[in-house]
Order: sequence, then structure tokens, then C-alpha cells
Amino acid sequence: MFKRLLLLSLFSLSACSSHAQPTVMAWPEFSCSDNAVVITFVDLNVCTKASTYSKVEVLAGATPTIVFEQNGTDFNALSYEPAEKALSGLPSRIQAESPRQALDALFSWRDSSNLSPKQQAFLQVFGIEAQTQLMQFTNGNMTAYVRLNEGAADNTIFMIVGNSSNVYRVIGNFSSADVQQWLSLLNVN
Amino acid sequence: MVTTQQKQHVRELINTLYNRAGINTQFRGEVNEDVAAVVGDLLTDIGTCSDAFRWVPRPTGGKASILWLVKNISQSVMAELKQKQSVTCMRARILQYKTSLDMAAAGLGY
Repeated sequence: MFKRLLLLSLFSLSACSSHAQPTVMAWPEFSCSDNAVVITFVDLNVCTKASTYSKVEVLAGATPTIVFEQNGTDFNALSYEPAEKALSGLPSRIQAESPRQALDALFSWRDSSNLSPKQQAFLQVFGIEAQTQLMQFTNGNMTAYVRLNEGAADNTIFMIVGNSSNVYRVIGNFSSADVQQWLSLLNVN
Repeated sequence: MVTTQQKQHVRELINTLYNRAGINTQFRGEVNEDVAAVVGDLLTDIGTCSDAFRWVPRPTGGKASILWLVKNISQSVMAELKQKQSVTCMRARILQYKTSLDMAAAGLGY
């Protein structure tokens, strides 16, 4: 009887933890046609087709950024930033050992029932609500963390390569279908 | 002592910027000195967008404060921010600072 109870408890614990973290999905296969141009942004290759964008703008300033626009509707800004800046200080605020650990924690909190007020505040600040789509993709040592709110202008993909202390961040008004498309156009050197 | 009207001025500035970035929600957070510092850094970044944004006031030698924003971001500056046609860079920078603004407004620091 005791063994059965123990097994049941272990099973429910494992069920809880599988809900707590978004399922990690395989990165969509890199797809770049012959007539496309590959822009290398630091170590990230971005496949760009002239027909996909109406405007591509490289921004100067302290945060290297490329903006991809399509006919005034789609607006996506890809930047390369220190993780502390891209994550608004989250890693140090929660004393995470790495940006990856900070994002793992942030993406696991929503389904927890025992959150501290500070954790709840972080979820709110990062726009993670009950209906928010959280996704994770992995491609070798690169991981993408996706936070999507329907119709929002600031949907975000954070991408970390290896144990880098920098983060690639895409912010824009993309949909979940666009996420697959975006990721299929990216790979690292 | 910062007054309610001065905080409202900063809130109006943030909402003007949000509007330019296509962010549909209104900034409803607490306006505090950390929020002002984030706005100051955002204005500095917008100022580097192109020569067309040279006129954007930016704090020199330190963090912006609520009083600095009230003094330097007049209604005419806000009107200019609303009317500028070249918005790609400004929009990107505003989106990049939104989480930091919300973080500061939630009292989590900057």
C-alpha cells in the first residue's frame, strides 16, 4: 500500500513538472533558397528573400539591431544584446547562474501554484498571462524561448547560443505560424 | 517633491511613445525615478536613430529624473515625437525598452 502511494506521488510530481516547463520542440529545418541573401548578424545567419520584406533597416547605437518590415504591417526587430539588458536584469534579480537558467525559470513559473509576489510580478512584467503561448525550440546548442500574446506588438523570441552571456532578441507583431517561419530562416555559424 | 501632475506628464510621454510603437495598451504603472531613468536611456537611444532625431533632449552625465523629463520634454517636443515620419528606429527602441519600463514601474528597479 505504502509503495503504491509512493509511486502515485512520484507520478503526480512528474506530471506537474512536465506541465511547468513548455515542451522543447525541434528547431524548424533551415530553409534558404538559392536566390536569397544570407545576412550574418554576429554569429547568426539570417536568410532574407527580397520578396519577403519591403524594408530592412540596420540601426546604429549601443544595441545592434536589424529591423525587417513588410508593407507597414509586419514589424520585427532582431537585436544582439547583453543578456542582462535584453532580459531587463532578470538573471541577476533572481540570482540565476546564466541567462538560460533565468529563462528556464521564467518559463516554468506560470503553472506553479505557489508563486512568490516577486515571481508573479516578473510574469506580469514579461507579459506572461494565462492565455500566453510559451514555446521552446532547440537546435544543437542554440535555444529559442518564445512568448506570444495574440495581436501584441511586442511578441518576443529570446535566443541563446551555448553559454553566451549575450542574447539575440526578436521583438515584433508576429504570430505562432510566423515563429516557425522565422526560426527556419536562422542558424548559427 | 514630485507632484501628481509631473508624474502624469511622464505617463503621457510614455503613452505617446507607446502609440508610436504600435503598442495598444496604455502605461498604467507607477511613475517613479527608475521609470524616469529608463525613459532617459530610451530617449538617448532614440537620439542616435538618425540626425533627424538630434533634437530629442537626452540627459547628459547621469540618469534622467522625473523633474528632468518634465523640464526638458515639453508639449512641443511630444508633438514632434508624435509627428515624426521616420519611425522604424524609434519604434524598435521603444519595443526594446518596454519590459524595462514595466520592471521599473513594478518597483523591481532598473
